[in-house]
Order: sequence, then C-alpha cells, then structure tokens
Amino acid sequence: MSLLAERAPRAPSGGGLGKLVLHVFGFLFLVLIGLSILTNLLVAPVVFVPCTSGQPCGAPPTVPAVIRETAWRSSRYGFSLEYPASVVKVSQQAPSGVVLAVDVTGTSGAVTVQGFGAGTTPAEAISDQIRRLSGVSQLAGDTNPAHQLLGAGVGYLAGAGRTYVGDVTSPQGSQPVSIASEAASNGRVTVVATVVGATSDSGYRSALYAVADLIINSVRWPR
Amino acid sequence: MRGEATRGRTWRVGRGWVAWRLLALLGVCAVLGAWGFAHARAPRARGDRTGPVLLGATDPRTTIDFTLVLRLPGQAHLTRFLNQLTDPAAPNYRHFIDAAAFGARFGVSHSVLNRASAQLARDGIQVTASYPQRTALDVRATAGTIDRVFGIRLMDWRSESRRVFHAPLRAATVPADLSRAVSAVAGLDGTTFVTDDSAAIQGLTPVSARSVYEIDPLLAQHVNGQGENIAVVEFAQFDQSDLDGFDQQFNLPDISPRNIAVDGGATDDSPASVAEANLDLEVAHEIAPAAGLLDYNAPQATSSGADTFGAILDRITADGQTRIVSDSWGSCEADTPRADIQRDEQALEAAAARGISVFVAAGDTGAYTCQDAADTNHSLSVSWPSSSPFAVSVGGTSLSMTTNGAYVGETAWNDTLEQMGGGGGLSLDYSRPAWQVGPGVTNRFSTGMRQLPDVAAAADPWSGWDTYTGGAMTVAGGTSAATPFWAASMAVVAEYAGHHGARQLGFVDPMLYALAAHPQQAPAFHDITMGGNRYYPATPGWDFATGLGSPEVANLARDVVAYLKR
Repeated sequence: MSLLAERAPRAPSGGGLGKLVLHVFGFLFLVLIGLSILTNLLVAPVVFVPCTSGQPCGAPPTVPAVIRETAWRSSRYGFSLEYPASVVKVSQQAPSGVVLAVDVTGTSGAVTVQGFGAGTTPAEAISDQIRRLSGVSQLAGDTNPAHQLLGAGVGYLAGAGRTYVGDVTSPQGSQPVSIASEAASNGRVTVVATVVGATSDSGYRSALYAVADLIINSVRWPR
Repeated sequence: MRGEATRGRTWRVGRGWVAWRLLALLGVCAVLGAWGFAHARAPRARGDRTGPVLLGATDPRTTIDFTLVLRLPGQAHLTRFLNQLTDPAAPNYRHFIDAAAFGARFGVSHSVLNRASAQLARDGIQVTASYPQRTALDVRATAGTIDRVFGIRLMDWRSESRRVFHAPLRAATVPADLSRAVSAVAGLDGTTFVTDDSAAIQGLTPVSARSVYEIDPLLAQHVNGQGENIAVVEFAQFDQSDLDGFDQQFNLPDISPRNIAVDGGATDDSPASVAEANLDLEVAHEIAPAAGLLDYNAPQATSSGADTFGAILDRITADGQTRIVSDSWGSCEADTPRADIQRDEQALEAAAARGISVFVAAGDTGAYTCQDAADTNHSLSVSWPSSSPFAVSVGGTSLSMTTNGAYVGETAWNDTLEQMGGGGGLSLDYSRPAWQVGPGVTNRFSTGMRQLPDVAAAADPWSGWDTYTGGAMTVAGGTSAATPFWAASMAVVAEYAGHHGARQLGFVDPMLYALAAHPQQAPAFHDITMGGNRYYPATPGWDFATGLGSPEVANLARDVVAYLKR
C-alpha cells in the first residue's frame, strides 16, 4: 500500500480532441520516419561487403583462447600479442617490437616479434630481422626439407616463413641453434616473428615451438 | 603400387610431447612427472621420421592373421540403396537394415562362400571369424602359405619405434579358385593406425564444453544421452581408475564402459595409447553423461595390422547395439593399402545401411596428414578412414571463450612450427558424394573428389580438453578429442529427436549438409572463417580446414527434428 501511495499521480488523459491530435501527429511522425528510411535506402544503399566463398573473411577473434595470457602491444605499429607469463618474460622491448625469453623446464629460447611499415614485405621483414640477429655466427639457410615451414603466417594471416641454422657463442662455448621466422602483412603493417633456440631444444615437437606458435597466432592486427 | 607405398608407413602411437608440454608450461606436480617425463625425455628430433627398415624375409613358419575382403556382387544395388536411405523421395528412405539383411541382399551367396571356405581349408588357411554382413573373412595362415597362395613375399620391417612388423613387397593376387568370393587380401601390412592426440595446459571442463557448444539447454531438459549407446574404436585399453578419477573430479555419474574385445582385444597399455582411450571415453561421457559407452577394442600391433578397424566396425554393426561410433585413429590414406581401404569401406557401407554414423578424426597435421609418418612428405594428403564417404570426418579448431563459458569465436587450428593443424583436404580414392553440397563446398580447391572434414570442434592443444589419465588431470587436444565430442553431441541430439517423435538419425552427413545449406536465424553451426590448416584457409560456408564448422548443439537438435519430421 505505501508503495502505491508514493507513486506519482498519473497525468489526466485529456479530452477527445487532444487524443485525435496526438494520433494524427504520431501517424505523420511515423510516415516521415518511414519516408526518410526509404529515401536513404534508395539514394544511398547500405554498403555491405559480403564474405567471399573461398577467401578468408572477417577479423580474428579479439579475445584470447581458454588460457589466460599476458598482453603486449606495439605502440608504434599498433599490433598486439599475448604470451603465457608463467614461462615467458619480456627480455627487451621497443615501440616497434619485443624480445620474449622462453624458459620451459630447461628448454630455453627467444621469440622476437617486430613490426615494419607497409613498404616492407614479409620476405623483406624476415631478411631484415635475420640480418639483425646478434650473437649468431655461421648463419645459413636450413636446407633440411623436413624443417620447411608449411602454412607460415602471423596472426591468422598467411605470409612467408623460413628456417635457418647457426651457432651461438657463449663463455661455455659454441652451440648450434635452429631459427624459424614467419612474417605476414595486413597491408598497413608487416609483423615478423623469429624463434631462436638451441638445436636440441628446437624442433617441431618442442616446448619452445609450442609456445612460439601460441605467441605467433595470438598477434592481433591494428584496425 | 600401393603395396610398395605401404612400406613407407610408420607405426606411431601417441605423441611424445603430449605430457611434457603440459608439464613444462604448468610446472605441474610430481604426480604427473613420472608419466610426463617418460615422454618428455624422448622427444623426436626434427627429421627423424625416416620410415621403417627392411630386416629380411619373414620366417615362413610365422603365423599371421589377415583378412579376405569378400565381393559384394550387389554393389550397384548397394550404392543405389545407400543413396535412397537419405533421399526423402526414395522408397527406401530411412529403411535401415541389419547386418544379416545386408549380407543376404548384397553379399556373396552361401554356396559361393562355402566353396571358398573349403578351398581355403585345402590351401591351409583357417577362417577365424566371419560376419553376417558378409563383408570379410578373418583368416590365419603361415607366412609360407600366404606367400604361396597369394603370390607375394612377406618381409619383416622395423619401424622407427623399433617394432618389428610384416609387410609384403607387392600387393597380393587373389587366386582364381577364390576369386568368385574374394576380391582382395587385406591386413598383410602390419603397420597400424596412428592416433591423433595432443595436449595443452588448461582445458575445457565438462561445464565449459557444454556451455560453449550450447549443450546446456538440452541438459536442462534432461536430455543427456539416455537410451543411446556410443561405441568407441580403440586399439588400446582404457584405465577404469582414470575414468573414475575423471568422474570424481567433475562430479559426473560413474562411467563404466562395456569392454568388447575384437580379435582378442587390445593389448596395448602404453601410457600414450591408454591416454587416447581415456580421452575418447571421458569426452564422450562428459557430453552425454547418461549414454552407454561401448569400448570395442582390438590389438593394434598384430600381424593383422591396419584392417582391424574393419573388423571392429563389422562387429559393431553385427551387434546392433549402437547408432553412433567414434574413431580417433587413422592413417595416411595415400599409404594405406588399397585392399585395406576396400575392406574398411565395405564395413562402413554396412554400418551406413544399418543407420550407424561413424565419426572419424581427420588428423592433426593439417593438410599434410602423411607428414605424420615422414617429415619430408609435403604432399597434400588426408587420413583414412576419415576420407571415406561413409564417415563423418571431424576436423579441428582453436576455440576462444570467455571465462564464464560463453562462445567468442573459433579459428581453424594451425600451428605452423609444430607442424600441426586440423586435418582436411581431398581424398585420393573416393569421389565427392552427391550429398556433399552447399555453400562453399565447390571452391577453387575442389577436384570432384571427396572433401574433408565434414565438421570440426575444439582441437588446438591450447584450447584442449581436460582429461584424467595416468592418475592425474591433464589436458589433451587434437581431432581425437573433437571426434568423441561430435559423436556424443549427436547421441544427445538422437535422444532429443526421439523425444520429439523424429526417426533414427541414420548416417548423418547428408542431413548435416542439408541443414547447413539452410541455416536458421539461430544456426546449427558456427561457421569458422579465420585461420587455416597449414594450407587450406577457413572461409565462409564449408571449407577444407573446418568443414561446416562446430555445432551449436541445441540448435542442431532443433533443426534435426524439423528435418526428420518433414
């Protein structure tokens, strides 16, 4: 009862003429809206680009998979990526890219992800990043056909991929390493990701490559 | 020439990196360690999948089990009959027949079969099993007898896993006195099926899986697989204590699969293979918790080799206890002997005639299934028996979901560095069936051959499935997980359809394609349009990476009822 009592009293409904005016006005208002929609459709039809059968379509999902990841974003190129912080740490970073150190139960390596402008093709981006690899000697293309990257790409965009071999020299001596690099471009930004690990720790079934695949697939492109 | 190719197949069960990946990334506990590290310490170096080594001629006294593929004189009638089963305008629409009727209508006559059996006895070949559908005879003989009768030379080979098996130098020839009954000799290649499994670190629980694929609305109506049986094809034993652990972990009803041994039953109890069997049963159980589970298992590493799939399937069809089968095992189609394919295919046809749907994993190496056996094999290839026109081929996705189990999206599963992804591509052996039509099916890659996969579901290890194996929780992915998921989902759909007066589902592929071609406002499939499987891109409509897509099971059930009640 008290609630009912506290309600604001309803406004008087007015007379019959008022109702008629209200209905006429409402009807004209709806007609006007309808006409304007129709005009818009006729004059400027909705631009809808349908997905083409046989071609990739739409944007990649922007929410990570089941696993919770840590995000990193390039302030210069706008792309972002995710990594499992339990086994991956940021080793170096710059506005254009990041070096991630991976350490998985004794398997260690690095994943370098870097952005380039649209003028750089994926193949050029790979070459550039490989050229800049520091501390790797005897660098050469990996000629083992078993190591060829099939379906290379970054962030669900198809691109280029290459593998290399080399040696890393440390105070403990020289150690052979495997290097795999993938790159792709969305037309505005090119992103390259390079994985470097000891030969014994690399390879298609290694933990390093499992983590690297996750990181490379997680790349989200700037809109 | 396929006989030559068979020697390139390698025997592989499980993947060494399964557990240690989990271990590594979670830093999990010692309890997992014993199992995990056993595999962790033996990773394959890149390029070490080099194929088997020839050891020499098989000892002629060695006893070998193999299979004689029986002729189907009524093959033309059978093809017409199978097409009519799914054609609403046909007189045989949904008139499923049992194994005995199949044998009587399409198989060789009893008199021909008896004469062949007598000849086999004279040749020194013992018949160990036969099937009412008259698709095959399981037989046993010495290597010397086999060489003599079928004009081959059996050789011993050692696989990379150091298992010794037999395989002939060339394909067997059926002698004239058997040729009225026998069309081919299968199972002489001791190579066995590979498994499709993988792992991740944090996976789908029963609750999240049911939520993300929209099974919850059916469970809320108490539709949970009650009255349905799901048969799983296994070449390894499951571990009941693991299944109990899974149930306790997730508060599920007890799971007690019925163990049905074929050819003496599975003997493989290696952790990787047991993990596969556990995964299949657990995923099926969590999706359809009230469904009965039938574990049909056969030895994997026997001289009867690859043809044990056909033996298991024929037994399933003859038993008539289930309408849904899940098979997570397969091999490179291109390397599978033609006789073995023919033997399996006849079993699949008899199953389809019985109204059984056989869900088969499409493989985990993307568009390059045969790379699973040899790193350097970069030919586009698919998995057998997933490529059969009478199998529902199940591919893989990477799933994104919110923490509360809401579906966000899926991409085709593609892990380039790991050489992994959802299987899919074109069959070398079979033409595209008439029912495989719809948006996207005919595309720039189409050649007129059977296209796979038909459907897909979460398979990326990073969005894999919680499983209990080796006495501990772990996570597994691969199309091995997606396949029992689909099978169990259809068991739930079958129960729902039954409650709504709809008839038996039958072989569901034609129906799935028909439903996908006419999507409702709340569609039955998530159309996956991003990612790829290392070669083929996911695209709108059907594609070679994810097929029709993953299910929204409640919507699918609704559409199935409408379809069946037309």
